[in-house]
Amino acid sequence: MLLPIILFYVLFKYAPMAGEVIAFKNYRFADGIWGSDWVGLRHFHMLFESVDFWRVLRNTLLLNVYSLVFGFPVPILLALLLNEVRKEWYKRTVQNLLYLPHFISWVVLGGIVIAVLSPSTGVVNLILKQAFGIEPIYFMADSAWWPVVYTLSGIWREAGWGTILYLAAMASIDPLLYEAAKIDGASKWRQIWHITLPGIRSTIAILLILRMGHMMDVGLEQTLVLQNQSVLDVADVISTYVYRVGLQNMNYSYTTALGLFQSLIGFLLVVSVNQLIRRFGERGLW
Amino acid sequence: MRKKKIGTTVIAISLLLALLAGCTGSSEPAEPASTPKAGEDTAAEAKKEISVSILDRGEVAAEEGSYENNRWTRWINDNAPAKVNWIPVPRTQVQQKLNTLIASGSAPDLIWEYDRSYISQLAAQGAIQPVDGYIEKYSTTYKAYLEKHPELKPFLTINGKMYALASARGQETVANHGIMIRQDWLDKLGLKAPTTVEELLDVARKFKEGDPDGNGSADTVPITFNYNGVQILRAFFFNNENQWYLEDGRLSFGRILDRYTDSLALQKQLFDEGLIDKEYITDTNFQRSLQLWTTGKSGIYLGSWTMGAEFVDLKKNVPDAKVVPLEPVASSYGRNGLYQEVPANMYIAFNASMKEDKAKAAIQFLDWMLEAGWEPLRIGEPDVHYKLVGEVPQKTDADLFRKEVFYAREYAILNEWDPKPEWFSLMAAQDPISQEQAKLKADGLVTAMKNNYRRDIAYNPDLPEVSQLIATFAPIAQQIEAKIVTGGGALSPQEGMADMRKEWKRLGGENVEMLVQEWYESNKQNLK
Repeated sequence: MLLPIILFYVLFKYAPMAGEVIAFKNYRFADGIWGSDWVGLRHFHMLFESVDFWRVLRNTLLLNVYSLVFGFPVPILLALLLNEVRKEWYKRTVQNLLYLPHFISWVVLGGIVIAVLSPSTGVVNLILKQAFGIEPIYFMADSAWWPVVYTLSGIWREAGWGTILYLAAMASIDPLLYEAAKIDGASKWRQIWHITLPGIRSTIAILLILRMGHMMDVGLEQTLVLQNQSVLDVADVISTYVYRVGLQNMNYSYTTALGLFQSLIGFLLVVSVNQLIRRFGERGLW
Repeated sequence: MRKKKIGTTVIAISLLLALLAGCTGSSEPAEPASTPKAGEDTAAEAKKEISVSILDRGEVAAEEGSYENNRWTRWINDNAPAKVNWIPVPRTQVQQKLNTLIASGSAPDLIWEYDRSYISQLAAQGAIQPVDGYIEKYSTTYKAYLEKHPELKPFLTINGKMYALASARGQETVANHGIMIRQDWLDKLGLKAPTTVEELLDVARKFKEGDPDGNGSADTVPITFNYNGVQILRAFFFNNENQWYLEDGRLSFGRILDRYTDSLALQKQLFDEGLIDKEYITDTNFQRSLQLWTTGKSGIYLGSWTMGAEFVDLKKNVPDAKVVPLEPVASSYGRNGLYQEVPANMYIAFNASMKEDKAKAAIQFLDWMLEAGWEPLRIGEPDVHYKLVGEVPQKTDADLFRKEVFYAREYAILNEWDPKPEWFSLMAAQDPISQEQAKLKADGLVTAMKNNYRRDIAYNPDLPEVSQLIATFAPIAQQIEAKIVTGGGALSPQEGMADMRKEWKRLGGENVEMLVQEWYESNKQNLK
């Protein structure tokens, strides 16, 4: 019975990968994938010699590192907190409110972020001024603040959604363990540290490995919505670069080379983190 | 047990076959109804079938049908010398969608876009074919039309061959950018309409301080704008960030010219004195700006030659507002017009896979469209949708027209639609706001066409090295510009321009300039 599924993957996921050969060719519409001329590694040379490529690569990696360091633990923390809530209706309400931003598109969320952070009319600057007497900060147009806004808005949208898997993992922990701990006089903190966290360890490990596969991409939508001309030195990322250079100028081979490079790095990261996690005695993806 | 196994194998195989069938179905050119339906078309056997792309703007009402099939596509098929299958492409991603269709071999026979550089990219990609021969052999109407409109030729020619057909734009679509000013504010403060950059600054300052909206505080933002705004400020100085200019016989890129520095200086001054929105940088969709204008908090709007909702909403909020078009102000370089479109309208190209007989049918269809087909597609049916008042087609019912005719305009891929300014008030609805709007539109069009917009060469060089360089240079330049304008004293326009030129050089600008010059020398005769 597995056969159709395997076939599906072969036909629709693996077969199209043959198209990656255009990274080594000079693809033209008229010649097609197979008819275009071979150019070897020319597109890769172009890529690595281009100054802008390193700039967008650095920006992409930095934004991802911020999201990983600050964004990854947030759903875990939220799940721990939610797990301790005893009132079922309260837990549900909070959970739903946390999910909500996930279902709103970036266009709308971006508009809200820009309005809230506006130096003249935004509520954040109003509070800063009233409470601390700080002069208005133009967060969105400042290259130092922009990555912060980017990271926090990403957390705002996705953290609630990310709690689902952790909460499910926590639900599967044997309640007997907690009872035994209580009898032994363990405090709430001890219970979280010695039972809940070890209970979701493997889930955390798997999600971390999967997250590593995305270290090289940054969502096009979020970036385009939040980006503006005065922060392009930190906000120009691989996806916006591909859009500008590749699709708008029909450099399909060049952007495929870039895509291939991106996937390779992602693959390497997944493999090495997987190894690392297995060293720690956890089961990895394989 | 064994039986069960056989059963699963059978299911698996049939699933596999279904998958394979689905797969081949999706990779084959999916030309809907490209095989003539037997029996149905025997009467119209002479009619060849062609397919043509059409922009899907989501304007066809459900009762009208769809972009593929509605009263006007049926009308075309009844009257045109060919049967046309329309292939809708979403307006927001025309080029991506067309590229996908082309790459998979299922693109329509006639592919059209408003963007000439896209057509020239397709020609370089070998996706479209030259049309000179077909026009020579099969065309009558378009051939004569082209002789009457020699100005179109350079736009249709790529590397010496004609790759597209296009009709000339009416002045309504040649006119593009425009400036609007609140006459009631000028009157209230006893000011004259500005004619130079200095006067514009002066008027803007008075708007800011003089409390023209009469709410008791100096809270107006004198100048607001939409996405045309920055280009309007550039046009005062005979510049556009994406155009190439002939300077002493050499082509130079607008964004690194001295005139550009002057334009940045003006923009900086406007910002520093608070004459434009201090947060224009993050107003990337220009909603803040629009809101300031429509709520009567702004006196000068840099936008288009005509106003739609911007005017109606303003009148709702401020019934006494009086808006008039403002002629572009003169700078130290003189008075330039604001951005105008080139004469060529939609560029219609022929798919490279099209055979002679189909090309012939396509040419006959296009000839018919230019001769007779386009008019009903723009104005509808006589007595149903319009009545002739003199030579002006006056709408009988604006709502009916919007529902049944408005969406059809782009099926007229060749047309001679050219409404005159004096038509607008006759064509518009009779209520006072619509009439005032029509008057503004007529004045706006006259104002927009009064001054010539500087364009030294018909179209920009379409070399891949150029687009590559500009694509990488643009974000760097944008950021430097933002720093010049909003950074206070951090970076003067002169210093910023020096930085920009340095970046231009670093990215290989000098080499590209040489290529561009070569390109210019060899295409000179086509560029005027």
